[in-house]
Amino acid sequence: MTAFAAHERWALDFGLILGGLVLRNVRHDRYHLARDIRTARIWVDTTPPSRPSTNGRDWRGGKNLQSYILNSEELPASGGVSILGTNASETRHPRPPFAAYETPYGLEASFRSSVDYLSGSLNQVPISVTQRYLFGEYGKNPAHEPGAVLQAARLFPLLRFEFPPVADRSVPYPAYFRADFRIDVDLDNITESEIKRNALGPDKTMNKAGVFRDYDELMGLFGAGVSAVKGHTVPNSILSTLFAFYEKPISAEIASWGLARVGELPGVAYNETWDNVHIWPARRGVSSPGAFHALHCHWRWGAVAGDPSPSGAGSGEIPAAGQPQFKGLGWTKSSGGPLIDSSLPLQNLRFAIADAADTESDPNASEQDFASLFTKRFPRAHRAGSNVALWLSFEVMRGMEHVGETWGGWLFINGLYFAHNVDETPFMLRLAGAYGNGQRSGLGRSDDKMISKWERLARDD
Amino acid sequence: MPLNKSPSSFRSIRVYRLVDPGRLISNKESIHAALFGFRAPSGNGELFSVHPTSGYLFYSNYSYDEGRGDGGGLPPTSKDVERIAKGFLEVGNKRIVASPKLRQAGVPPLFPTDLRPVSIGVVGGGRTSSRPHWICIFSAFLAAGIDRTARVEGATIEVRVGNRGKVIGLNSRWRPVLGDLLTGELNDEASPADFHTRSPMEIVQPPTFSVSLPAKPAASQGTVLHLHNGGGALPAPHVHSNELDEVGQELVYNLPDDREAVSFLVPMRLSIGGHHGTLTPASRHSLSVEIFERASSGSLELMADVRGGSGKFRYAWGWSEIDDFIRTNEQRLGSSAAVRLTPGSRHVTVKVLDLLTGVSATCERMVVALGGDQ
Repeated sequence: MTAFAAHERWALDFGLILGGLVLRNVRHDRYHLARDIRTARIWVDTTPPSRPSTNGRDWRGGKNLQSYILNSEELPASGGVSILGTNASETRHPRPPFAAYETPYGLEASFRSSVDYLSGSLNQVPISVTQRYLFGEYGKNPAHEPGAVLQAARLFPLLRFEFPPVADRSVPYPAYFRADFRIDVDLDNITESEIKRNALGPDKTMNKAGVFRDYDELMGLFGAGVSAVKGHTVPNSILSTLFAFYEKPISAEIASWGLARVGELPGVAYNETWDNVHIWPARRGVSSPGAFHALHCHWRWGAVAGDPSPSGAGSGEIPAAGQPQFKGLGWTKSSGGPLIDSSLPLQNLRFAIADAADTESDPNASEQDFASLFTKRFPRAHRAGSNVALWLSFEVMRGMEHVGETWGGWLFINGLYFAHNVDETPFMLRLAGAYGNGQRSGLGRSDDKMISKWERLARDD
Repeated sequence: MPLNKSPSSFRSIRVYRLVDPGRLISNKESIHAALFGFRAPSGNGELFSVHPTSGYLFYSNYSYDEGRGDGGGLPPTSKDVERIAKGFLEVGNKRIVASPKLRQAGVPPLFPTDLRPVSIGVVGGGRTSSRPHWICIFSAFLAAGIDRTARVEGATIEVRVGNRGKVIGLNSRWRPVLGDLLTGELNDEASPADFHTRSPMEIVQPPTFSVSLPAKPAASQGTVLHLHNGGGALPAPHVHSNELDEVGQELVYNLPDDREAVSFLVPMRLSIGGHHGTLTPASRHSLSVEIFERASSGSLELMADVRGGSGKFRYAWGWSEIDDFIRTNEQRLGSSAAVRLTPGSRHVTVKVLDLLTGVSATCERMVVALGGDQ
């Protein structure tokens, strides 16, 4: 770990180490965002994994499944770290609509396998990936959320892969790619009481996380959507009217689904997945919507966010509704689309929010079944906050249309955004319970019993 | 138009003229010297910048995190820190005013005088890469009239204080004020004539003020985030009841996004409802614009929905492809109140300049224009 970069408002350390181009001590305006950001592992196979049941132990990869750690002997760096920013085009986000966010600074590194994948086969190919981190300016134009209220800075931890056209379809060829990202979140906790007691010691770095699934239709703040629903543990007029499902904060660590679009996925339907994760300092209340001091990561918005009707003149319901960054691929008026690269439409996303300490000594850890890295034990309680890492696992399948042509694109194009503002939650929202907590998920009605399920979905169980 | 309302129904409110950020940029070294005693950052972990569009100031001494050079302890209480932070800003203003070079360059005091603490606490230490230090966050208020003040929405000033009370960080999201003028206050949207004059020479009296004004808050009050030392979530920040009038509106001055160049700070009414707040003009100078879309055969019509101002506007539309870099490739789209877009995905901006008052407002958004029936 070498250099320190303080470009305008962003400050961080970065280096090429085992794990690729890794960012450490990432801060914006001197507010801490993360201790460590990396692509922990990539996986390649010639077939998607076999998933006969919901039990992760039953899941199997194909016989050509291989994993790589970036900047390892198997996948060394080709060149050093490039610092981007000398001209505008090199720091431009490669995928619309995110190119509209100004990202004047970036870092890039590329890697190429020392031995070809499927070596000896007609379809042997080198594994070639590029990491590109882009750092955005602080603001709200373009809007980060449909209400166009929140000022934040974007961070895009992009990864690109590419495979050439298949030479011989009759033998195995690369058809599955997966990349796991790990973000050791580290938001500031303001602790006046400790200084008064002269008890400054190791920072306990307690952050809280919440998961949410948006409604696809517009719900009124005090509309008829409020109802007693099985699994709705806390009557809360804000959360239940704005979100279809939620755990705020999560009761315990969680390993679940963000996108379930491709393949046989027993036990999870496409509309039972979560849409976003928010992480905030545990010692502060956070409003929903709003979250003015938090890490935000959205990979899908409800359909209404992509519909310009609520933003029309005189309406003013949702000022930025209809803008492309809220639509996603294949958006319709009844269902928002995933924020993914259109050249890689066949994607699933799994995620986990788990204690960072468990993987601190081996941050490149990864398992054939993503969730198995975490599910060897019961999930620990989280309601009071903990030192968490956010994991995101993007898996991509190769469609038949990409067999005869180059297959590749960018992952994690949605990135995340970091807000560190004075709380500007509207007064009426505060009165209505915007700071309230609650749960509606596959957790069940009671949140007092010991949590045994890692995989809690956005549905009533 | 005859003046048929009593003089007592006419109410004035302040509008503030802002300094051109270019003056701050071209005097960056002198400003740094006035604030920190040296003409330029030491280059040893120090950073000082002036945002090219907004003029926002940012300073950070990262060498503090490496423990260089300064022993001693942190100020013991939040009151001490508030005093140190306010003192730093006050002294900074005095030095700016006392500097002949900066006076001649037309650089005004950099920080508002009415600052109210929002949050004060300690950050850093332990697993983080920062040494423990204090952060003190202020909201800014401006006088709206002789007997009331208004919060500046979007303005915050953060001061970070390290060992021995040394300022190690400054993040000033504030645009220095050159001066102010009085204009008529608007309080009722029902009358379009209140928004527009038919000629520059016409005087339009606003209707009788119908909403109770909030009592003027004392300068020492503010909305302070009280921090607890226990676990669990904090209570919602306390909001003084006199910050809102009877209909849930708050009078604010609205600072736009970092990237929007503006010359005036104008009063707006922040109305709370639904998922967000909406801003409406609160004076004859106040101006806001939104982009309204309407499908027409084979294209998309964009209209600038302007609220407030004199009615005498200049429009400047620009667009760029969404997969293109915004600033270098923006193209002109038109100069009327409405323009047409052919099919495609674009980033569109419209800037409206009030030709009578000089106030401007900008709206930018991404637009998808579909072909055929949309």
